[in-house]
Amino acid sequence: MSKRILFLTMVFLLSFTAYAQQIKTISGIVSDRNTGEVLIGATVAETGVANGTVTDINGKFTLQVEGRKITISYVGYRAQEISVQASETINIKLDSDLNLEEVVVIGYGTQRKSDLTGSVSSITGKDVKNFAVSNVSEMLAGKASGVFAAAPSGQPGAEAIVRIRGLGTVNDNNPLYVVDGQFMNSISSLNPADIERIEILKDASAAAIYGSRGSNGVILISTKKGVKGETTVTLDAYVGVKSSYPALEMMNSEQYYNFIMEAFKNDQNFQNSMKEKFTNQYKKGYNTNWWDEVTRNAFNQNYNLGIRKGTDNSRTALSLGYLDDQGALITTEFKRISLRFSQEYDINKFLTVGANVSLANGTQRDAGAVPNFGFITTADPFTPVISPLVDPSSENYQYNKYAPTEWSFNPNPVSMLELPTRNNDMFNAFGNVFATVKLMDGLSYRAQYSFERNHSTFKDFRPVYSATFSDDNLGNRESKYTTETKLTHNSNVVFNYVMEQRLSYNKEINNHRFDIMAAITYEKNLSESINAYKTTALGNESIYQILDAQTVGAQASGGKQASSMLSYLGRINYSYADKYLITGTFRADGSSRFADGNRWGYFPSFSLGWRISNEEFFYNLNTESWLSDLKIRVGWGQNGNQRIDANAPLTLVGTNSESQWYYGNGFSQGYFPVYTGNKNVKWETSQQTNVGIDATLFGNSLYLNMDYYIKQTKDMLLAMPIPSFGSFSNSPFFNAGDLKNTGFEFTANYNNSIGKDFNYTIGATISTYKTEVTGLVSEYLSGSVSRTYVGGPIGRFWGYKQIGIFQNQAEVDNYVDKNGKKIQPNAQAGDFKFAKLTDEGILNDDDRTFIGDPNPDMILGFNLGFTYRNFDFSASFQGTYGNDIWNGGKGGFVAGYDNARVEAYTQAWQKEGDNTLYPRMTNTDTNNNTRGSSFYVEDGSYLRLQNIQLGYTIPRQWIQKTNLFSSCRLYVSGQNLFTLTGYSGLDPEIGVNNPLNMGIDNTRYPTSRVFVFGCNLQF
Amino acid sequence: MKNISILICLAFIWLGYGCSLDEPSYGKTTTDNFFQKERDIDKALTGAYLQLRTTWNEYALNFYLIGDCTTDDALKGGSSDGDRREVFDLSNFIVYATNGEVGRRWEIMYRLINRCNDVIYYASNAAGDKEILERYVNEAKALRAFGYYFLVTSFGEVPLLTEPMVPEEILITPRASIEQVYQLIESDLLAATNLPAKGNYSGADAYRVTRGFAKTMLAKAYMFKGDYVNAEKYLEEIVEVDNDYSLLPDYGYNWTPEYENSSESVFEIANKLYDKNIATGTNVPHFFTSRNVPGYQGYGFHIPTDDLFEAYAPDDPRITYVFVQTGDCYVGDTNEQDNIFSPTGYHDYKMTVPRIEKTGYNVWMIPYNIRMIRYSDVLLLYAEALNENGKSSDALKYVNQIRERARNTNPIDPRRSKQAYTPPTTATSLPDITATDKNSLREAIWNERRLELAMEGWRRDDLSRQKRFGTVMRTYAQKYDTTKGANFDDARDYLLPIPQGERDKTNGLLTQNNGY
Repeated sequence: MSKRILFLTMVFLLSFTAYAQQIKTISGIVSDRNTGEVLIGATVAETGVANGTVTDINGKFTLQVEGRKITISYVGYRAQEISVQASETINIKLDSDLNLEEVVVIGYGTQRKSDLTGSVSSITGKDVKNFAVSNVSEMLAGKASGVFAAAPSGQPGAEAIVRIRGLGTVNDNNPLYVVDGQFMNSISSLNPADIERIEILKDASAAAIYGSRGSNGVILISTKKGVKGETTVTLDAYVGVKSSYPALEMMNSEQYYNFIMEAFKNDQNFQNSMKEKFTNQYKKGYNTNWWDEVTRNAFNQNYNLGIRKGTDNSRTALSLGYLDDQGALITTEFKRISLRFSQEYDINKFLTVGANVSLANGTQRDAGAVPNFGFITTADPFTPVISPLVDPSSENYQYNKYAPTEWSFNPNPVSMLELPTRNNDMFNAFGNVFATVKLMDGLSYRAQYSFERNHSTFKDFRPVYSATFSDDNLGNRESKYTTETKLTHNSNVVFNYVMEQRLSYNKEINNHRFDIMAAITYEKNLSESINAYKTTALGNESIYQILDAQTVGAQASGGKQASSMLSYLGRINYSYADKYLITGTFRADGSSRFADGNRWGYFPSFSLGWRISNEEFFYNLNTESWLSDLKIRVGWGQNGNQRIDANAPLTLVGTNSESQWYYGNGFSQGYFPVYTGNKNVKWETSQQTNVGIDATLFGNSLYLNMDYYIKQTKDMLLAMPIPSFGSFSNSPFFNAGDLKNTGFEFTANYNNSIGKDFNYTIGATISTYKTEVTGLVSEYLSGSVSRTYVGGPIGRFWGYKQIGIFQNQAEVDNYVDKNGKKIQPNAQAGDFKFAKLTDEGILNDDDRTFIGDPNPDMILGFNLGFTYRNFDFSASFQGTYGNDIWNGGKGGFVAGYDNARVEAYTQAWQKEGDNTLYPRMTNTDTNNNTRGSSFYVEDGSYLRLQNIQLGYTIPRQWIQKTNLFSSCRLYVSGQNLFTLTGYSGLDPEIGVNNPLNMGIDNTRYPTSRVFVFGCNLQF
Repeated sequence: MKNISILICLAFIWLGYGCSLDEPSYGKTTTDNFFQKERDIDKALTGAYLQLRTTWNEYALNFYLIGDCTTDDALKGGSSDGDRREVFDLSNFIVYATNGEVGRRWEIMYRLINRCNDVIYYASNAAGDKEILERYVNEAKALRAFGYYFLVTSFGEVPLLTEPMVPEEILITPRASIEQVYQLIESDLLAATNLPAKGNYSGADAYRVTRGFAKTMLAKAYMFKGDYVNAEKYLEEIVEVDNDYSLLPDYGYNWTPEYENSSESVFEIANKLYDKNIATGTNVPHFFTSRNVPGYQGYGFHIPTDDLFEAYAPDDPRITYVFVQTGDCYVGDTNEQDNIFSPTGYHDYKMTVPRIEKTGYNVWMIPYNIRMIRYSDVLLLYAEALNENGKSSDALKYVNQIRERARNTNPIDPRRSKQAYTPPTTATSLPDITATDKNSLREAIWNERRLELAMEGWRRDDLSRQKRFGTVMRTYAQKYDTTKGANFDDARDYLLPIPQGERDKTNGLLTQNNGY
């Protein structure tokens, strides 16, 4: 405030001296070009003269000038000079100078972006603001080159599967999440609104500082802290509607009836004993579309209140968030209340102490009572949701009202979701306390203790309910009623902590700049669980949904696991005259997950940068008009991967409650190996070389970045399936082989304006990667339908080539090998014809080959945005090109007790000459048409609009009248509004955790479409 | 400032040296600590027995489905042809290498073998009573041989594992020759003939494998190889020397709770229950009983064929204890049995557990012993071996012991309050067999075996070793004009395919059987 008075005084004085001149009155608003936010306190001054003002709280200024030019400047923005001819109103957009002097978080420190020599992508909180997602990981889609994010499920709160630079191993490919220095396995408790910025360390020279855990890339999340300045209070809120899209179309009642009648026409048992009842079921006239019955338009709401404040010697931030994210599937929901508090004090000029604490309480009701989503789509359409046979006034009608499925094996899908009470509750406290000490000039010491304590409980109550079976019911009965209540109640506590001590030294001597860091960290992860089960309470009411109310069948179990890691690490950054940049890092990790001799791993990195644009000769080229900054980077480094079971080297012996044998007098407990380990298992290491170019062109309007990398992974850790005649209880960990991954990434961001009001930005990221397995302990690795061979990529689909449908018996009989022997002797007209790849014999497993590749040729991301006067717009897309998907939903076409996709009927082969997708309708499938074949493989290329947002900032003159807040923006936003794809399954964006099963689409919790309306208020 | 520096140095040192990287495996012991004491070996041996009854993956279920449903004795059943299609495929001899039922036989038998290998290997160095440890080893050897017997007779050449192996070794283990497998079976069972006799175990150990079990399996192995001389030798020991067993007076007693582990029982799996939430029972009866009778609600698999019914003389009392028919009613039931979903109208009596014996338990987890080998099997094997060795008149005695007992069996089941069919027995029912011609006596013994052991899982085994599996099945197909059996290929169908997953995981090191 005092600053403003000073300026005003100056203006007042100067206006006298300038009186004789021709005075122009210039007024306007200063705002950020990208975000459209008004800038408060920006300096507006007449160029070259001591005449100026600052913008007020609405970004507005009025200045009287004599000269012809004014300069507008603001901290963090590039100054702008404007010519003024006469009195006028000018709205000025300032460009952030983040591209130039942006400071990025690099792990155990920060660095000027211009000094970076590794490959690091940054996403600021602004880039992902107002996204209607409950998990931070979902915001990464399409936002950075080399990063691909896809949700494994539409369950609210689910964490997306994130891949950085494709696949680097056949083991776990998940990146490491580090939140303010704390390693976190799950970030579902983190409120997206608390994020200040996200850094993605992609290449080894950047990630090597995380050593044994950096090989899949590192995602560093920095949360909002207090900043020096006046108290700011913000409120962000949205409400929205979520609905599922799209639905798989299943057969309706009539189609299903005809399908079964055709398929079972030769089944004597059906004809004799079931046909009549089956027909009666159909004739009742129900036609239930189960997908419609289990989905809904769900309500979503989210509120975030933030307060930030800072003085000369303390900084504080507080945020409070509430999220209620209902799922598109009935009963599913995720709620989170979060509180975050950050406080820092400069005790004296040497010592700063602080603490950051996050508390989050989450409740998730999931759809886990439905073992897989096939249960929903495949229920028979003859069954109504509510049984007409149960008297609505009868006792416990709410539990007993559901109609048991008439024909299907599995229960009524609505009852499976509605009847159980099923909640995952989570209380997570995480954060850190730290102290930094300035020891002497440039040398400082930091000690930090970071922790996470996550207490989760799981409670699943199954009520007593009866089923009223109709006279025509042919379904399985056992799973459709229960005679006693059942309660599962589990509790799990995870406690992780990291102790870190760090010394850093910064020094600038003439043109030499040093930044040296050395640290030692110790980390411990503990988890302990208690599981209880008991049955038979007096009733279903909520007072009985507790263990004490249950009376019999008590079972309890529990476990505990611990792992620890000790690390020594260091880094040297050196730059000479801002031209030559060198970074070297080293980390040694010792992990409890390996046996004694294999415990320690060493991970060095080295990288160089050359800022050509700062060279003398470059200035002489006079390119400044179009090329303002150019940097070349080269980096090399090693990383590790220790994502294996805590007990991986040990073979464990144990038992369980049902492992009791009766020898004649009471039971004896039997023991057997329950976990097979491998003593020889050692670190997986990846070595990566990266070459990159960063360029800023056309007056900072175009930013380009290109990276090329070669990543070689040695001793990939893999839980390798061993033939079952070895009788191992699990797939033990092996150092299964070597892999090479080469890739290219390109980022372009362009921003410009048309006229003075229309500013726009366009961004694109393109990434490609190619993996090649260079060595394996076995000749190949098997996924559920995929194989990985030496010389090829990970996880190509493996199976038979379906080359048509036999049109008549003659075609079957004439399909012979070189000896004239029938290749598919059990086939009939209407069955699939598969290619015979070997010379002779019947079709067998030697006739399988590669039938698809789930690895994309290209991963794409687009970001568009513009601002026009008070309007702002942004859209982001993610897509892949050239990948195949295994569409598991196409299966199930052999008639049984389950419904199938409508095409299994409408596209079924029925007579000679039919050119159809599906084979004949049968219930025995003697030709094994369902075998893994190219029938299931489809092109999975897609482009999805991940997020679109249109905002309107209410003009300040309206706001002023309310006297309530200083800015108000209203927006509408949509998540997942449309997808361009030729894929016929539910959703081409598939998050699969196991790389050996990549691209396999088994029907799952559907993705949702979300519309929200929200506001951003500043007080 | 100096003090602060010292503190910092100390803190660094503390963090560097004060932190351990040894984390225990809580709640479980490691193989290095286990297998040290007699008690451990005992627990590990129990762990081996348990492999015969992994919940929802019981060997007995697989044993009956493959042993009977692929023969002329039983149809697959279930709700329709597509219900448990892998068994339908097996019974039609359209067997793909991915067949799940085939894979289960392989997997369960190898689990048994590997757990036995642990016991045999570690017992030699374990501390404790050497005599007891030796008995544990012999029990494990008997069970291991039982496992290999089913593997070699079902798959032919199989990987031969004789001691604990690490995963790397499994990846490079090929199939061993049939002869090598039989050698191991023979040496294991010879060692196991030192086990206690059935009567010499205390009550607390009554269900353990015995010398009689070892000798029976030994005889079965010799019979399968066609070595009737050795078979006769051990069968004679059981029948004439050891005298560990005797036939019950009434055929029907065998499946009653009162006669569990009776004098006739050579090997029986005790599936007792004490808490319905702890799955120590069996679910085979649930699979094999009628689909729509309250209190039974089975899946209706394992259906006796018309051919089996017709094989009995109408006045054979054993019909009562092989077939459950519509209209039968068990004591204590209000609902009669209703076999509307059974293609032949029959269900499997020996696996139908009356509702009153399941009171307090779920219909799918049942306290019921699996009678795996009975003494009548031994007697009939002995008769068969004697006849093959040219001692036909000696053979008559033993086959007629079976006939006699059948004759003396009550045709009215005391456990049923109503019986749809009662064999009209007379004084002349089931006369003794008198044929002494080797060939006709062979036929008579084979037939008696079928009648006596019907639905008990051994039919496929018998037809295979008698080398008439193809003939019988093709005849069946022709007689009933059905696909079952029509497709039988003698060059292929005596053996099952090596599971494809096993071949895939070993890169085809395991070769495939002919024709698959």
